[in-house]
Order: sequence, then C-alpha cells, then structure tokens
Amino acid sequence: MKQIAFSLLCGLVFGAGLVVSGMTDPEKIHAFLGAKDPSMAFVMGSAVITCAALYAIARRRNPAPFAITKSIDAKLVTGAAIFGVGWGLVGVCPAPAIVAVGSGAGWAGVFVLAMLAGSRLEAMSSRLAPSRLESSRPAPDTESRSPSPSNL
Amino acid sequence: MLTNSVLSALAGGVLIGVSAGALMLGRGRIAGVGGMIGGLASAPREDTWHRTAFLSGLVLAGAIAAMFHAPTLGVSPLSIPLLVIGGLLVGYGGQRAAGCTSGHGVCGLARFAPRSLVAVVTFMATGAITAQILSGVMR
Repeated sequence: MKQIAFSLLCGLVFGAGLVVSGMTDPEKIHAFLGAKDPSMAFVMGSAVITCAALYAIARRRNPAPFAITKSIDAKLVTGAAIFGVGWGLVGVCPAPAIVAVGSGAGWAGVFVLAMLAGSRLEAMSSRLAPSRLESSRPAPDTESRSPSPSNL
Repeated sequence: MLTNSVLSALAGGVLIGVSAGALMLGRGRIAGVGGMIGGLASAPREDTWHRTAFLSGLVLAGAIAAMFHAPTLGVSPLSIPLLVIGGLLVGYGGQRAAGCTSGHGVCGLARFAPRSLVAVVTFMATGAITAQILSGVMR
C-alpha cells in the first residue's frame, strides 16, 4: 500500500513538473520544435541533471537496474523517428497527454486513445514477425519488452 | 516574459527529475510514461498497480492544475483526424523505440544510455522538421 502511494506521489510530482514547465501546452512545444522558443530545452536539461544526481546515488546502492544490455539497432532509430513526427505534429508526448486528460481536455482523450492503439499495433506486429519463422508461440523477446529499466 | 518561461522551465524540470530519481531510489523503476501506458494491460499484476498509481498521479496533477486554471494547460489547434494520426505515430514509435520523451529523454539520458541519446537526437530532429512543415502549412 505504501509503495502504491509512493508511485502515485511520484506521478503527481512528475505531472506538476510538466504543468509548471509548460510541457502540457502544445503551442509551446510547437514553438520549441519550430525553433521559436528555446525555453523548453531547459526543462529537459534541468530534469536530466536532477535525475542523474539521484540516479548516481541509486547506482551506488544497487547497480543492477543500470546495466546496459541492449545495443543501438534500426528498430530504435525508426521508432524514435516515427515518434518524433507524431510529437512534432500534435505537440504533446505521452506524459503531458495524460496530464491534459486529467484536466478534462477532450482533444487529449482522443490523442491518448490513438496512442494506445498505436502501441498495441506495434507490439502485435513485432510479436508476429519473429514467430512466423518459428511457431505460433509468441516470440521470447516479448518478455523483455516490459518495464525492466535495462530495456531503454 | 522569456526569463519567466525559462525559470518555470527550470523549476518544472527539477520536479520531473526529482520524481524520476525518487522512483528509481524508492522502487528501482524507470519513469517511462509511454511504456507504462502501452504495457498496462499486459504487465504483471504487481507492476500494473505501480503503473496505474503513477498514471493516476499524472491525471490528478492535471485535475488540480485545471482547478487553478493553469495557463500552461493548452488547447490543441488540430482537428480530430490529425490528433488520431499523431497519437498513432506517437504510440507506435514510442513502443518500437522502447521509450519516449520521459523514458529516453529524461531517464535514459540521466543514466548515460547511448541508445537513449540516439533516440533523443532522432525524435528531436524529426519533431523539428514536422513542426517546421506544420507551421508553414498553417500560416
């Protein structure tokens, strides 16, 4: 129960950070990606520095989640490229979209539903591709797609 | 005006970093929001609780911000078909790259993962090109 509350609190602080920083405003993101308003770069900058400091402490306590196991492949690059096109088009990424849903924005609801469909579609197609070669079993690597940090 | 938005950007970024760092310290988890949503249905049960709780926190933050009429709660200028296309691309691409702006952009860079650097550079580039084209079309 305590752990669930902790996750909730982390989500709340994360969401507050997105609202305070302006990440929840599609117009701001458009202005940033269109090179008209550089201030959004400071969001990622300060978030990464703060997070890296805390990660350094976490790494000293337990290095296991920090092992880098996956290499750079075409899937990463094509996926990120497609993600960027969607992000540039709409001006919100997944987390701010969820925050916007909480604020009662209907447009964000449409976006999140489409996002869910998109990620299902990808999960299904990448599960199909290797299993066609072997059997109808789901590919063994589907396990590693869940949230283990070493997956990034 | 610009200094204000830089300051709020810095402050908001610190909050995001604190949350992501705390999640690792307290629960050994990456704050990758795209992955949390995408795998919600198929995750192991203990993990489903964690994901649901974190996402509820995000929703709650939005609800509180709406109560205070936060000016950064923007409105999308896009039509529904474009929102759907954008959502499909973000969902598909984020799942394929195994991370989004939070997973790769914050957590991945903070742990110095080379994969995340590649992902961030890539989605920033295609995002910038798309936004440029869009602002050209809309003008």
